Amino acid sequence: MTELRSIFTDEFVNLLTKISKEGIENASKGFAGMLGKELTVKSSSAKLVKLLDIPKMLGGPEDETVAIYLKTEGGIAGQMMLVMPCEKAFGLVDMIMGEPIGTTTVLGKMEKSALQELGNITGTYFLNYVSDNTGRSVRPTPPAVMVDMCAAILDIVIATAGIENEEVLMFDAEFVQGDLCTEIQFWVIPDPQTILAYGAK
Amino acid sequence: METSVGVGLGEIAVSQNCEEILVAFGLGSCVGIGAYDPVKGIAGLLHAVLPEPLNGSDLSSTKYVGNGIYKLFEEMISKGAVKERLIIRIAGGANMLTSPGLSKTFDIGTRNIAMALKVLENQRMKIVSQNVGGNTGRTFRIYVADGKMTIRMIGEKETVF
Amino acid sequence: MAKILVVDDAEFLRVRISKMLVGDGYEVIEAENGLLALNAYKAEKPDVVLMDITMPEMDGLTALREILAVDSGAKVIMLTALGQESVVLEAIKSGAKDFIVKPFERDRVVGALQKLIG
Repeated sequence: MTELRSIFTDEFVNLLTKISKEGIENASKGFAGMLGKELTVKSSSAKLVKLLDIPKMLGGPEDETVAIYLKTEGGIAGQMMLVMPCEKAFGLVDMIMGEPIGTTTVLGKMEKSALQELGNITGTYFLNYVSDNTGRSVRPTPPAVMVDMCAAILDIVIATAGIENEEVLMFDAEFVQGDLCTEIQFWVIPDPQTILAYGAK
Repeated sequence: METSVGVGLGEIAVSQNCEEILVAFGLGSCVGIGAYDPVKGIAGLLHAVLPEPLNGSDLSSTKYVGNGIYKLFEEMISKGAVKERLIIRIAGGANMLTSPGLSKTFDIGTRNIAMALKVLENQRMKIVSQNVGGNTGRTFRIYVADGKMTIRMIGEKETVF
Repeated sequence: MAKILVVDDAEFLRVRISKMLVGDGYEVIEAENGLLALNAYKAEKPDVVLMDITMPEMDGLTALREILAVDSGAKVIMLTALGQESVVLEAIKSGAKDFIVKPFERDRVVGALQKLIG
C-alpha cells in the first residue's frame, strides 16, 4: 500500500482524510437512521490500495456475500459499496423492518429492496457531505443489491476502477452495530481521474 | 492428495502435476480461459479481468484477455504443449449488476467474453465448451490429472462443462 | 378522500409509505420511477405527489418539472435522501412545495400532506 503523501501534497492529503472521516461519519448517521439503532464507526481511513490486493480485504473468495453497490455522478465520479457476509444481511433487514432478529432467513424481493434503500441512504449521505463541503453537485445512481461469491462481487469494483490504474484511492470504514454483533464494511472509491484532477498542483 | 493452486486476478498457472487442481475462485465479470494438452498432460488457466488496455496502461499485463491468452499459450508451449492439441474451455464473464439503474453501464463481463472469442478465433483455436454470461459468479477448476474442467455457482454443486 | 401518488424505486418504501397513508384514510397510488409517475399523474390526477429523486428511467427532479408542465398547480413534495443544499434549492425553484429528507419521521410526512390538502 502506497502512502497518500507520496503522491499528493500534504494539503490535499489532509483534505482527503477529512472528507473520508466526516463523510463516513455522515453516512453512518443515515445508516443508523434507517435502522433506528445506535452505530459505531471503526477504522475509518483514506488509503491507496493496489487493485489486485482488493480481494484480500474481505473474507474467502467463495464466501456468500451481500453487497449494496452504487455509482456516483457529477463533480466526483466513483463507486460506493456496503458489503457484509450474507447471514449478517438477514439481521439488517430485520432491523430495517422493525422485526425481531432472526425473522428474515431468505433475501427475497422485499428484503433486497430494504437493503437497496439502506445503501441509497448511506451512500447519499456521504455524497451530501461532499457536495455541501466542496460546492460540487454529486449524485448517486439507484443502488444494486448483489448476493454472490465475494470474489465475483469484487470484480465490479476492480474492473470499474482498474481500467487505467493499478492503485486506487479508497475511503473505508466498519460500521459496528452492537445488537447484531456485526461489522459492515463501507467503501468509497472515487474515480482516479477525478481525484488526480483535484490533486494535481 | 490433491492440491489446489489458486489463480488470482490477472494470473496464469500452468501445471503438469497430476495432483494439482488449478482454480479461479468467484469469476464475476472476469473470464477464465482453460487449456489442456491431453497428450502431454499439461493444463493452463488464465484469470483475465479486462478486455483490453487503454492508452498508457501496462500493455504487457496478463489482466487483459488478449495478452493473457498469448502468454498462457506461450507458457504451455514452453513446457512442451502443442498448440493444435489444446482443448479450450472458457467460463465467467457474468453481468453482476442487474439493477435497472446500473446494468447498462457495466458490461465488462460481456466484453471480456467477446474479446476472448475474438482472440481465440484469430488464433484459429476451437473452444470446446463455454459456461459464460448470466448474472452469477462461478468458480472454475481444471484437474491436471485428466484435464477435466468444472464450474460451481453459489449454493450449487460443481459440474463438468 | 385525498389521493396521494407515491413515487420511489424501492418497493419496500412504497409499501411502507402506502400502509402509513392508507391507515390515515388516504387513497394511494404508486409509481416506481419518474416516467411512470408522469403517466400516473396524467391518468389519476392525484391531490399530492410524494417524489423520490434517485430513480432509474427518469429522476424525480425531471419528473417534477414534467408534471408541472402538464399541470402548473400540481402539488409535489420531494421525499429523498439527497438533501444537498444545491438540490433543495433546485427542487424549490422548480416548483416543489416541500422537501423532506429521508429517513423520514412519520409526523413530518403526514404534517406536510395536511398542510397542502387543507
